[in-house]
Amino acid sequence: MNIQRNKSIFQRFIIAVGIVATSTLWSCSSVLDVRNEGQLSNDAALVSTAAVEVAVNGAYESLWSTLGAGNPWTTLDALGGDVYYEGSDFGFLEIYNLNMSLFTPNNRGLWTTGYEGINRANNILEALPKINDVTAAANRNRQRGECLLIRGILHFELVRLWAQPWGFTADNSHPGIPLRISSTQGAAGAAIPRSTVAQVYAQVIADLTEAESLLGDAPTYDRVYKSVASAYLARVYFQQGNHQQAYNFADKVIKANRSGVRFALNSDLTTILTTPNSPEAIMQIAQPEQYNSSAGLIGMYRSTRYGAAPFSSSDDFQAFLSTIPNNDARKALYRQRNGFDPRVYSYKFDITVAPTTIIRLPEMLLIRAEAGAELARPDAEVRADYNALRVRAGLSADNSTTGKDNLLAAIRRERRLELAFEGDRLHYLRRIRATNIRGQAWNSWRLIAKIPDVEISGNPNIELNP
Amino acid sequence: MSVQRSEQRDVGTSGINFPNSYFQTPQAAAVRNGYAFQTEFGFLSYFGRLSYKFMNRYLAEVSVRSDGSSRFGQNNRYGTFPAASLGWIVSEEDFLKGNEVVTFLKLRTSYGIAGNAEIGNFTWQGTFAPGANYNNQPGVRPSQLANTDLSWETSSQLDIALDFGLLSDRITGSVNYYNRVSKDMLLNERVPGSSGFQSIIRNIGQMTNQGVEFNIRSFNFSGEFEWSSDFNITFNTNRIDNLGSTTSPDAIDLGFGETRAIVGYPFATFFIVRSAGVDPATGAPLYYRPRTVDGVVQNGLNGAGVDLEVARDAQGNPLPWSAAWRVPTGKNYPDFFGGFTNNFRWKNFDLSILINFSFGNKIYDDAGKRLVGNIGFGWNQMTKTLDRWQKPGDVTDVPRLSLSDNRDINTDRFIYDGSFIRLRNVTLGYTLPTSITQDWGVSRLRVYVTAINPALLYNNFPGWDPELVRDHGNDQQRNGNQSVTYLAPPQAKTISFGVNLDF
Repeated sequence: MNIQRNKSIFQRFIIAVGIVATSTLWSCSSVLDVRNEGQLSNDAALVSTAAVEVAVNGAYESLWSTLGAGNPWTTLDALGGDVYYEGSDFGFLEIYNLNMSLFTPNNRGLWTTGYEGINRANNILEALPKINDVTAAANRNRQRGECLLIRGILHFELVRLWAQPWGFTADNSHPGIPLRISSTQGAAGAAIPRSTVAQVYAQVIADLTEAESLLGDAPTYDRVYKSVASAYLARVYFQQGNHQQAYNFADKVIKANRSGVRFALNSDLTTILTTPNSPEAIMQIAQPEQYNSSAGLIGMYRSTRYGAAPFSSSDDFQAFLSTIPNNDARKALYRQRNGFDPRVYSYKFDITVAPTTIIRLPEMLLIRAEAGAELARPDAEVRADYNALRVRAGLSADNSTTGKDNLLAAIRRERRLELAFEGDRLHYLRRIRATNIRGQAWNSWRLIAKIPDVEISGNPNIELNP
Repeated sequence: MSVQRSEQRDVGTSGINFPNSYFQTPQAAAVRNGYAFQTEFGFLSYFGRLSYKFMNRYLAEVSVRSDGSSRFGQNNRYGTFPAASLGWIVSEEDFLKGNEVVTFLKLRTSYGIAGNAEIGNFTWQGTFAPGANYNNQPGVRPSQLANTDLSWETSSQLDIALDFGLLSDRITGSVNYYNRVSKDMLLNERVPGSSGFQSIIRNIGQMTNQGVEFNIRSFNFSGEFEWSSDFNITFNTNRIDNLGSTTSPDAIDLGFGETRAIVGYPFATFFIVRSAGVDPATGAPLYYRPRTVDGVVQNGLNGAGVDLEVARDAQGNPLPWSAAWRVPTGKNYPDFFGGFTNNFRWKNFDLSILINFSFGNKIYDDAGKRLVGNIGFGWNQMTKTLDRWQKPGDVTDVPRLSLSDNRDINTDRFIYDGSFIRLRNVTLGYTLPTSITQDWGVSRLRVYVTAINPALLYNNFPGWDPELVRDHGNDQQRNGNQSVTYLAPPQAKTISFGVNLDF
């Protein structure tokens, strides 16, 4: 398109005498046939099991850019109350001040990369039934399972940030997010409305359940596998307050016998988040050397003698820490970085490059304990789950707490300490319908991300968050 | 018939850490790298033309061409583009022949349809791209949405022109009216982010450009003192007639800078929230929002005109900025622009002065929001930040400073008049008399001094330079940001001295 006027048509046609082609180098149709060596055309992209495998890597890349590079973890912590933010990043200022807008870069990026991953998975899910080469049978179920699991995880993480929590309306008919279960192939039909939270959760559970049935359980740490599906199902049901199912799936992960290798608590507390293939890691996302993540997740939390991290402990969290006995080894993970900076920082990441640990065993123990208490399981059984964490931290086991309310109080205290600065707290507080989350109720719109401009621009009918 | 075929292939290698400077080949390096880039396109055109000239004064021409381009979808590669023109050299008619005042007069008109294929070579293809690697394993990802229906953008243009020469061609010039209607424009339309893509290229809508071009050249004096003048001016109006099925003002991707394609307005109209100043009581920024009349929002997008009120809540407190309050606010392109050149010669001195001008567009300074009062962003501030609101009762246009409020907000506080007159070029020369220089074996020796861009004669923009363009990722975004600046450096002022020597 050209706004300014150039030559008149008259002049243009005088110039257009052109070259009279006598050449027969190309037949007339092949002149217009072109090769595009830098890109792969859609019809040649997913034609074999091997071709699908590199597309699956592409779906994992979305999982990395969505969950592995710091988001939504850092966003959730900036909202959740344990973190004090001391920086000038425009995005984090908006989030930390509960002033999120449709331009908040962190949220725009999360929405974009998350849905890219969902579309990548959908492309593969649609291509798989058409592939019948010799290695198809051996890989089809795994490839389908991985894509369903990635799609389910991404939908779940997005709906928890962009929609009011489960239970906001009695039948969960409040707006969720656009549910994408088929690939995008053109502009037609690309602008779909938001599904309800009930519909999104139902699809997430269906995806995770089928993935769990398709996947094996002998993992390498950088992929998703059966126990990741089980663990995410535990998370989803726990968020819904479905304690029986949350208990069942947490229990399943804790007892998972992965070719004889069970999940076990890491003995060293200082490396629980940073060790590839740590025995307690259930889901990790690889962080290759070249992606020095000091700019992403680790950069927000890691302090050194020379520089303070943007995230430190809030006054509220420091007050909580003061109630923790000094012989709890977890307390030592939060400390001042030198003699003059009064703030307390997290030392869970004292390293520059580490895989991103999305789920680890303590979360499953805490879900099983809390769901067990809600289900009136025997007190000793409930205590045993959180006692495992206390004993690892050098404390004596709690053998005295009894009764549901006392047990829940004890579990919540363990959970806050154990999973602090891991992006857990906001969703947890909303689950228990806390009345004061940084001055906001659990269902406050200020804790919900705005539908970003990248969606609104192409989808004018999408319902906005107030 | 014409065939055009272009194939481009770049291959490069590089190495880091060579043993010593003797080794120059990449394989000697400890770290080696390489890349390759390939692209190609083809055009296949058939055309014919008929010209006719009758009695040296009546001209007619008809042409038609059919073009195929590899840049379009398999189904829609060919476009047919006819054109016709008529001319009448009036000064050859008996009633004007030999006239001493009107020495040349020609009327001409043309109408034609032209095609535009200036897009990327592969933009219609649905593709997967490499590079989506995970943990050092290669990965591919869907990278572009297919549009196999993509076809030519066409523009049909009417020209009516008059060429003239007066007083033995001491004064020559032309007047030209044009009207161009562009249809099926090749535009990147945004798709929802939840589709997994940002945009798709499509044939969308219709836009009209019309205007008048005028130029005149005159030899005012000849003889010992020579003076000649050239003047040209172009008036252009531009309007988006429709944008097809798109409904959002943000549907056409024009990048950052708050310019939008809105039906009924010029292309790249600024679409922005208008500032209502600063609340003297609290120092909070105030904004205008469109009034709602009978349920219709008066933002100008429904033809109702822009009707605004200051945005306050029921208690009278200022409301924070909302993107829903954006309204059309000024345009990116000027109403008219042109140039004026004067050349003088007296004895051995010569002087030329070139002035150019442009009037009617607005400038949006996109960096302004970060340079005035937005201390949270961490940039150095302009001195205007010192005018900030400080205590109740202060009347100023810079809001109270705040680290917690979001001030990274686009408003018309940073929209300025973009009109200017610029002294573009002044050259003064002196040629030494040949009686002196011929003794040196030099047939001509001229010394001169040239000043490029010495001064702005008229300017309302407080920034560095009213002639600017924001660089962007693609042509469409650049077209939409001709009057948007984001820290663009000003044009240089250059003075050069020189000598011309002819032997």
